[in-house]
Parts: sequence; C-alpha cells; structure tokens
Amino acid sequence: MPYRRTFLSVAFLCVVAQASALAQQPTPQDFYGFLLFHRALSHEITTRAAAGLASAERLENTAIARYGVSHDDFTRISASIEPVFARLKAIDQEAMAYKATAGANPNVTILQALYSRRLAVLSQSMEALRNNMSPTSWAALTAYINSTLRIHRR
Amino acid sequence: MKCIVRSLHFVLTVALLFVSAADLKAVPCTAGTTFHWSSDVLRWGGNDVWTFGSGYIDGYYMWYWRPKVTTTSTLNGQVLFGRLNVIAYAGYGEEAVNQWHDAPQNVGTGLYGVSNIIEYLPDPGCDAISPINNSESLGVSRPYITGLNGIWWLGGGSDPANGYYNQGALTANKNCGAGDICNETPYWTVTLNPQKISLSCTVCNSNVATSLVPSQSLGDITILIDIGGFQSPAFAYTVNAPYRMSSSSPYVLDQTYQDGYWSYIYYRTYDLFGNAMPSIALNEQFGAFVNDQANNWAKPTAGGLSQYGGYDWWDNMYMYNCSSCSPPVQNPQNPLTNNRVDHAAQSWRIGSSTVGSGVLVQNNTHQRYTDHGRHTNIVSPVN
Repeated sequence: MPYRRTFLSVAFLCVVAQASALAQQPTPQDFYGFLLFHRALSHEITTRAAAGLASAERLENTAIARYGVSHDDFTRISASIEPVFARLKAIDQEAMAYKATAGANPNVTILQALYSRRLAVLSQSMEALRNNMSPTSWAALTAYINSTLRIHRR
Repeated sequence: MKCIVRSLHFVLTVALLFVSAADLKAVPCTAGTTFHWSSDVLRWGGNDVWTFGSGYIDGYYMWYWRPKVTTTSTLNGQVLFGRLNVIAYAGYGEEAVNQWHDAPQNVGTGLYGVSNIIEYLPDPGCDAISPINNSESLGVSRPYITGLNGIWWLGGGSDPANGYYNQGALTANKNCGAGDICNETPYWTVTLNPQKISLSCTVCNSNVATSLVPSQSLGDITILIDIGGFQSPAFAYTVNAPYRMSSSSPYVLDQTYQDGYWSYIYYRTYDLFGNAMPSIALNEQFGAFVNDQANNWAKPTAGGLSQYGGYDWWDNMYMYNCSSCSPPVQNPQNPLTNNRVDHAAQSWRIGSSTVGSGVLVQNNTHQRYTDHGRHTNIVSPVN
C-alpha cells in the first residue's frame, strides 16, 4: 500500500504540474514570438482579402481553429497587435539612438533597462489582451502559445 | 628623430589594435540575448500548405544584430517557381520572414519541402555566430472517397431486405496527417450525371447516395469531395439495375400432376452489364385474360417471389384437380397439344415481390393450353 500511495501521489503531482503548465501564462518573450507570428499571418490574410480571394476567410478560420479562440477574440488579437509594435518600435528607436552614442562600448545596464521596458510593454499588452478576451479563448490561446507555437518557433 | 616617430607610430598602432581587441571582448553581443528561428512546412487548411522560415533576436543585445533568412521551397524535389534562395533581411529588433502559402489543388501533391538558412548578422565588434541550417518536409495527398462504388435501382420505393441496396454509404477521407489542420468539412458534388443519384447531404463527412435512375454505362456517375478547394479524385459510381430475363436450361419442364400439369418456365435475371443476378424479389402482373375457346378455367392470380436459391427461378403454370374444367385439363401429351384455352399479357418486374412494383424487364403472353402452359411473344429487355 505505501507504494501505491506513493504512486498515486506522484501521479497527482504530475497532473497538477501538467495543469499548471497549461494554465501558465506565456512569458513576455513567448508572447512577443506569438505577436510576430500573428503579424505575418495577418499580413497574408489581409493580402488575400485585398485581392478578393475566398481563401482569406478560410485561412482566418484555420487560424481561429488553430488558436482555439472565438471569431470575435481573433479579431481582438489582430486589432491589438499594431499598437504593441508601435510601442516597441519607440523603445527600439530609443535603443538605436543610444547605440549611436555609445559606439562600441554600450553600457549593458542601459541595454538591460531598455529591454526591461520592452518586456514591460509586452506584459502590459498581454494582460490587456487577456482582459479583453473571454477566459475560454485566453486559455486556449495560452495553451497554443505554450505548446504548438513553441514547436515552430525555436 | 624619424626613427622615434616611426617607433611612436608603431606603439600607437599596437595600442589601437589592443583597444579594438578590448572592444570586441567588451561587446560579446550574446549575453542575455536569444536567437530565435523557425523553419517548417505546415498544412494550414485543407488546400493550404505553408512553407516558411524566419529569424529574430530578442534580449539585451537585440539591437546589435539583424536577421537574414534564405529560403528555398520545393515540391517533390523540384524548386517551386521563384523560390530558390529567396532572401529576407530585417532591421534591428525586427523579424526576417519568408513565407508562402500554396494550394495543393493548383500546385500539386507530394512532398513539400523547405530549406532555410537563418543568419544573424552582427554589428561590427560583435562575434559572429553560426547560422542555422534547417530543412523540413510534409507529404500532402488528395482527399478521397471510400465506400462501395455502386447501388441498385429497383424501381424506387423502400430498400428491400434482400441484399440489393438502393442506398449506399460513402465516407470522405481528408487524408490529412496527424499534425495537419484540415478543419474544413468536405463539400460533396456529383459532377457527372447528377440526375442519377441523390446525396443525403452536401457539407458533411459521410454521405448516403440513393439511386434515382439507372446508369447507362459502368461508372458513368462521378462524385467529388472538396476540402477548402482541394478536390478528391473522381469517385466513379454506378447505379445498376435488373435489365432482362433470359431462359435458362431447361427452358421448360412439363410435368404430370394429378389430372393436369405443372409447366415450369425457367429464367435467370441479368443486370445492366450482363451479370446474372442471384436471388432477388420479383413479381408478375397479368392483363385481362382472353379466352381462346369457351372455358370455365379459373384464372391465375398474379404473385411475387421474395427470394430463391441460386440464380434460376421459374414461373409455375399449372392446372390440375379440376374435374369440372371445360375444356378438360390434360396431362402433358406427347407431342403436346396445340389446344389453346386462354391467354393474357404478362409482365415481369424485378426488385420487389409486390405485384406491379420493381423494374419492368419482360413482357410476354401467358398462354395456357389444355395440357401445358407457355410464355410466348417474349420481349426482354423492355426498354
């Protein structure tokens, strides 16, 4: 019986660990990877739609199915992207300006600070998106970013 | 003096070299920095194959690198048009992306491949890192239909329980891999002779075909499924039907029975394509009887047969146990008499034991003589 109890305990811990992994929020870095991925996909959908191709809708439906989100939430994701990139771009421009002045000897603390601000933007954007989506869609999207997307984006 | 100047110049040059080397060490450009890449072929919909490669840098030194991706896409080992070593550059903090979506319906089936070289171009002073070389592939096959490739036309009505079905199940097989996304529901179309069958649904994973009229030739009906525009090969389909009856050996057998006779008229039934049909329900139907002479013979009642063994069946024309018959019934004579009693138009239908239902395959005259019976004026097939 002790063995069995141990086994059950281990099994329980595994289940808990798996559940927590699924529920775990994406890191800002993973969220950034998703934004890049979604931007490329959105570009393709938009290009097709502009050309009047029916495949634009099919591609969008496939993405919706892949993410596991509702159509409305998919639209919210798409709408949220460019403002995030605009904020990131502002930091990037600041970083480039610093790089121009620092030359070959940048202060890594300053770079870290700039990068931290980037991560903060991503965290805030992720949180805003989460609050804007249904819990079901967000859970599905989280699972997608934490599992499927990681396979493709290394 | 000149020598001193030269020496000073040398010292300064060496010192500068050391400064440059120190600079390189001071900016390794990889600390806290992640070099991301992707390279894959994905089925992103029934009729969508996505080949891509991308690279980006994330971290403290992300502004000191620029990604470059060189991509070649192939199908069955052949470079897809315009896709040889396609280069994408991106600026600092951006992602370099090469991506294409192909429609297998237009481009073809087989093994889609992508080869990517993902490079991270460092700023001067940063150490170079090795590029990523990656190749991926994905097999893409057409969807297809499975199921029996034919059903029977038995004149309409419900499906008789005799193994001749006027409905057939068909299943759409998307033929997608485990990791593929083929979320579209198959769209069914009868592309050739759609008037000959009906399908139970248009957008569905499985279907039921019901016969409406017989085929003219084998496989003269074609059915397709389409997933997102990716079509299956044509599924050739046939509506077979009983077509004709033919005498089988022995054609007739006249037997003595009590005071009269049993005349067996043997037949086999054949389908549209000349195949003999084993047990299938059938029935006869009579027109008005016409007396060939004054008689009081009881008229036969039309009947049906639900099944029989093997391929042969027979019509039993009989008259016996009739002492009051006028003219009198006889045992089969040798030679048989030509003493006609009465006759009627007789028609034979296959596919149902209910009189008047099924597919009409023969018309003949049901002729009774005092000592035997015969089918005369046989017309088969009727149509």
